[in-house]
Amino acid sequence: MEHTELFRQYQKREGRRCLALALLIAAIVALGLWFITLGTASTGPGTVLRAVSALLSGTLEGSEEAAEYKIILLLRLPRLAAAVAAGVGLAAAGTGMQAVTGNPLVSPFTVGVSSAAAFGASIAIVLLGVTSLGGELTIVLCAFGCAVGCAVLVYLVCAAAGMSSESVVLAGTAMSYLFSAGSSALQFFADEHQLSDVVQWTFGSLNGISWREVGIMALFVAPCSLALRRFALAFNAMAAGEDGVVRGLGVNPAAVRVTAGLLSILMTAAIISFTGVIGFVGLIAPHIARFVVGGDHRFLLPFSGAVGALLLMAADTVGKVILAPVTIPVGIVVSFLGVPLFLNLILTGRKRFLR
Amino acid sequence: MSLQVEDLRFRYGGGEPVLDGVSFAARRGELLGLLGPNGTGKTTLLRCVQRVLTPCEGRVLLDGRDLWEMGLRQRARLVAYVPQGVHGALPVSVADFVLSGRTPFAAGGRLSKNDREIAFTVLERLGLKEFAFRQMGALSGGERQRVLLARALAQTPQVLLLDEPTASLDLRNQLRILELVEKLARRERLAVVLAIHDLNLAAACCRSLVLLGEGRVQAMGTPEDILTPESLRRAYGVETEVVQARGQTFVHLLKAPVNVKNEL
Repeated sequence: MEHTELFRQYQKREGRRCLALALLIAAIVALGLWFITLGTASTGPGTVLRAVSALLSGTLEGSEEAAEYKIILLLRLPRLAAAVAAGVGLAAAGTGMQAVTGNPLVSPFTVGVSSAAAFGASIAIVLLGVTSLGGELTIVLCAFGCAVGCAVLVYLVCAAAGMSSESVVLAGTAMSYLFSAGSSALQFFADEHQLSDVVQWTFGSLNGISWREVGIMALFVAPCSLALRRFALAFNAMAAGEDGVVRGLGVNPAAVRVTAGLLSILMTAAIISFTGVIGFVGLIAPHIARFVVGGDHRFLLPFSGAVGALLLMAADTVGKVILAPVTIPVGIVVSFLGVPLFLNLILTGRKRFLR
Repeated sequence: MSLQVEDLRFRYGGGEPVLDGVSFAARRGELLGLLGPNGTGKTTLLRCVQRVLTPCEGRVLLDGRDLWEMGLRQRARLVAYVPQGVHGALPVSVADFVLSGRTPFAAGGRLSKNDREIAFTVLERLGLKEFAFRQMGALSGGERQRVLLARALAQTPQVLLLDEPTASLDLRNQLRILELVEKLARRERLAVVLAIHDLNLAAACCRSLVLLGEGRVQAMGTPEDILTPESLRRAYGVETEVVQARGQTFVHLLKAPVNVKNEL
């Protein structure tokens, strides 16, 4: 069949978008390679590649630079991988939550997962007396448990209220306040050290993250974001009309809200249980991606994932380098870095070339 | 060969029934116009036919097949709905919007070549080619109505339901969109049901009319039969003059004589 001219034009635009996505991923790899070399012990990209090849060929222990290689392989690489996994996950979750609620101000944290996770961490630190930070298993489990519990609560309320998009936002916001009050109550009774530990946790940091933790994070992020991608057309339909019209297109909006919402929350809970609260990426990355590729979720989801990864990676590196040897938590830096970027995008208008 | 609506009943919550046993049949290839004052349930009726509103009672058959028995997706492949408008300034391009009409056919969030081919053929046929990569928010009312129609046609439906397709359009666009729908109905053998307020347009374009009132069908038949001063007085409470000329039915609205003394 002879293709219409429009068909070819559309095909060309999709080709440009795929190319842009490939370039973005290449940029992530290249920048990652550069970011690894930065830090208290500076190295070159060559050392990084040699370290990886030494690991792969099994000659790590015998080599002369084993200590340097280990810094790269066991400290910097997992940290970078964690930034990428968390960036992709939070950004994809943000896009998903904005799509199911039809509200551009929503982030994965709107439904209260972050305050629930913080509440869980507070329980572990204050009530159970866990002291060490950075992926202590009890803290992770408590944070994750509370975040998932919060998600279940929100969805029970919403299901009773008919699964409308307003009910998700309202119930989530209410839950957010409830868990914040819980955390405050615990902090009221905490001693000085516990208090500082709790506050530290809420900054959100990638300090001392191990391969095992990155692995668990990726185990949630990869399947959840791939599953979200399968809802792309349903998201598009939901963005373009009210629920009745969406049902007329063969999509059940309530079912999409439950499934995609839970996938987003699960992914977010898994990430912030390890890293602490890294806000803002989930809100801003979808918007930056939307500025670039427009509202088609088939492209918006992968683009915002890539933007999220890039943003967190850059923020973590800046936080590590700017006041070295002090490391500023990534959760703080990402806002300092993201807000000017975002404002600039709002002011300079939309980039047309991929839309 | 037709769309049969049998004894449709619906009420919102526990309130008064909006539809209280509505039955009619729409032949393929023709337009059937739903008339009636505001709030008589024209939109509700369209949404019930599509079973977007539940629970409604009754039966809707397409060529003898029960539309309500099938799943959401299956039904969306047969019945398409054109809403009165789109809300807000959508951040979606026209091409992507029309492509979303292929949602009931796509699996796993992917669109096939065939899906694109169908959607873009519809776009070109409706003269929307030059708008394809514009944003929905940047279109005029007439263009937007055509895009909504294009999305419905991209569903390759057998039944087309339109909710006041001419509501916010100028005279030229009103006629244009209805002529377009008429042509499509004839060519694709679609059963078309449209809710419409403009009696003259309805008389010009619809082969049969259904006059709704108080949740029931008050009258049903050809424009000449339905549009009489008596039936319009009963339905709308207004005085009209109905003229048959050039093979068309024209309804003129008569203003009640203003009695200044009584008003004051």
